[in-house]
Amino acid sequence: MYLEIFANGLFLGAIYALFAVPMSVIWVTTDVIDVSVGAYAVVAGVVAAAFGMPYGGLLGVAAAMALGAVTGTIFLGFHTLRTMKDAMPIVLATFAFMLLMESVILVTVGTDNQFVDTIPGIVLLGDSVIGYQGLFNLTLSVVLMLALTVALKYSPVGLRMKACAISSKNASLAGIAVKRTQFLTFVLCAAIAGIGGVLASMSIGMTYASAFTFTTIAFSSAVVLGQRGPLPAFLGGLLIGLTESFSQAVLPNGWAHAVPAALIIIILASGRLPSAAFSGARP
Amino acid sequence: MNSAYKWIGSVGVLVLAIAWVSVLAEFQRSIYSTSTTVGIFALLALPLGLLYGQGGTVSLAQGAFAAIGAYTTAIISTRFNLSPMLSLLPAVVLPALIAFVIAKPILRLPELSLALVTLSIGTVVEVALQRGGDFTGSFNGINGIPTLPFVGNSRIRAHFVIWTVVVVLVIAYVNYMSSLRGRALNAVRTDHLLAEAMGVNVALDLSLLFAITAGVAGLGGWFYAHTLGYVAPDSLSIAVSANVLFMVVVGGRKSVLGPIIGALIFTVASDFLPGTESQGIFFGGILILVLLFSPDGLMTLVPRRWRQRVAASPKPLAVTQAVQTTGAAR
Repeated sequence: MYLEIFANGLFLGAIYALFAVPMSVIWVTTDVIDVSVGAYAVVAGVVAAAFGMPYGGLLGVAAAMALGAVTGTIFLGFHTLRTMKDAMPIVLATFAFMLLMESVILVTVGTDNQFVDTIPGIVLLGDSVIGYQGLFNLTLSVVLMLALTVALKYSPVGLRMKACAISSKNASLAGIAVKRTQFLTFVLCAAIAGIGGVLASMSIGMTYASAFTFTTIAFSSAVVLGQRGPLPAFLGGLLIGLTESFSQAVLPNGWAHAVPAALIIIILASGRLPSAAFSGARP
Repeated sequence: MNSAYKWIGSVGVLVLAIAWVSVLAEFQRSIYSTSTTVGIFALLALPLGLLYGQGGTVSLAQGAFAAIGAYTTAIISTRFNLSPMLSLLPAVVLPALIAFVIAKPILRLPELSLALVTLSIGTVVEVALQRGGDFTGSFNGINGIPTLPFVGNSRIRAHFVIWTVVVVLVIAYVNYMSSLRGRALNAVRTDHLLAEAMGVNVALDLSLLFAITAGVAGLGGWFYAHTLGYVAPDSLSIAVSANVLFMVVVGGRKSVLGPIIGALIFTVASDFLPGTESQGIFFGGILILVLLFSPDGLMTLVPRRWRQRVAASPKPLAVTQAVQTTGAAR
């Protein structure tokens, strides 16, 4: 039984990690928390559910990238209009964009739960049932994380993103097109969140209101280990998945939904996350 | 001189607007209901305007604190059959007390994480209310909450009572911002360290302000419960917190009347929009545009000439002087 709870937590966490990683990458690269990450995921999942797999999944990721491009444009709009004295208005704008997208999904598909058929098949380990879908989630998530790590370390785009994360001013002086890189970050990260959304629609389903839940999970995963960065966010996602899975087994019905929020409160209020993590310094 | 302008510009304008709405409402009675709703939202938005606009501290827990106030009065007046007037104090004090206790660890956080922590508080409160069993009425909430004895079922009395409270709060807001403590708050918003170095007890000042914000939200929740006679976890949810922030940002966080203007725009637009499903498209779009083109809200667009005249009038004590005085007073 415990093995099954652990495995399900890990599989769920693999999806959460795909929400947390893009939030973290955008955070370190632009110093902005993109609250609409949950909306990218839900839109991708809803599109995948509407068109069916496999083309629906691809269309879903493309839709998420289009939304990422919109958020990136809004981000650049703040810089162009020079209205940005601090990051808060941009965060509020991404929050507004999430509300807007929630409403669009509500008008388009209603309140019904949106889901895609799961990958059939199970593996029996003793009395524990392990689904192929979960194994697929975990494998894809790990592969994406490895690909992202390699891309950030060795590809020209990744190195530019890294330079912008360390210091956008210095990156600009070194001849890097900072704005274009930041815009690209929004689009690429929306794609990752979109893949997470497609996996979520195959595993847990989603409604229009899931956007906010996914954003909360993404943020709690991004901060739970006390450091910013893609890898801590990935591991944080797995941890939140495990915590939620064990909470569902232990806590009274419904309380597991409050676990990510409670973790945010505990971690941030306890001062575990260093203040430098919010000041633009790279961990 | 400056203080007189502020009085004319905020309290005077508000009283005139209330009088005008009251006259209009005599021709179309439904205006009284809309006005009462605007008033309740104003009770939530006004303190957030003070906290965010003047103190530079964002809170997305206004809905949660209002819900605590609403549920406190609902439980006391329906489970124990006590008068709503007896539940007023607990409905205000309980959220204020909770806010004061949690304020110290969370208010030291930077703006972004503070917003997310307060949002998370809202989530936890919402789940607690949903899973509270018979005590909170679970998902169904609590019905049959009695009306206020001096209001009854009269929409006209509800309109006047709620707006009297709002006017009193606006007066308190203007006076607070003209006081040394208010100027110290502006110093805190500008630079925490500098304010602290000059003797302002930043942690205590912000904690008190956060508690006052929560207490006034509790008062809004108290009005809400006794005006509608019903409260449920969805009534004052996270969405309400987001809407209240929308009101403050759109109306103008740095202006006294901005949050009230925001509450008016939100309520009237909600009434005119075709369905609740599409409201997010409208409000989300408006919020993005306002943040892009007028980050300090619509109030900074309209009375530009008026503000220029106020700015040209003799300045009050410099902020630093005021801070020094506050520090010396301590």
